[in-house]
Amino acid sequence: MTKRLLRRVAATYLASGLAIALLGGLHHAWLMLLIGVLLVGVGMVTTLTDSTRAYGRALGVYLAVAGATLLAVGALQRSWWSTAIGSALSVLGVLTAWGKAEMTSLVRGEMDERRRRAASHAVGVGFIAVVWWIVVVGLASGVHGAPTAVWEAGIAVGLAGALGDYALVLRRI
Amino acid sequence: MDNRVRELREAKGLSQGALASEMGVSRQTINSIEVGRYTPSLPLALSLARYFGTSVEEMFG
Repeated sequence: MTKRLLRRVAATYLASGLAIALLGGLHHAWLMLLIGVLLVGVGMVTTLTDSTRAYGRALGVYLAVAGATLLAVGALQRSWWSTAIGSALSVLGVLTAWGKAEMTSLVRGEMDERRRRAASHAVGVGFIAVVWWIVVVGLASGVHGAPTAVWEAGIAVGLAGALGDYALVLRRI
Repeated sequence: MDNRVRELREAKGLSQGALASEMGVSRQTINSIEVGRYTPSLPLALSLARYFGTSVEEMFG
């Protein structure tokens, strides 16, 4: 994909994300606001290149602030979905800023041998996180079984473990 | 791992980004190799050595 086309795609994401977030905010439609915030994030990731470290940090700060805002709004309104997504976005933002956004290479598909090594390690960690989740929930719930949502949360635990590990390994090697 | 990648790159007047582009890897990977955090694969080490007209042993020995 050419740089010009990428810029257009990113601008579309940014403009539509901002418009949706603004509308969501005005009408107190939190899901709409969340989708807008996420679209702005996708737009920012799309415009990233390896040479823009300062921009990468800015993206991390944006995600962390947006996540913290969602977390606070979710907690105030007792909307646990907003709280959970806000927490995940905050952690993702901190990791992105800390690793100068190199972890977004996973989304952008800009992999080389070092990043593939980190990704391979991350997949292993994600798998182990899911296995431990299943074991711990299975043992804790006993014969009565756990609600479906608790089992589903294992997917988020695995993803968070894998993404976190990817960022950590990239900083280490 | 101590190596001469930075020395050879600077002697050629190349930036990390330019060398990364020549090798088909990211700038961060070149930086990690230079500071000794990352040990490149044999194909990448061979490519680097060939590019600088030296041997792998001389570069990474």
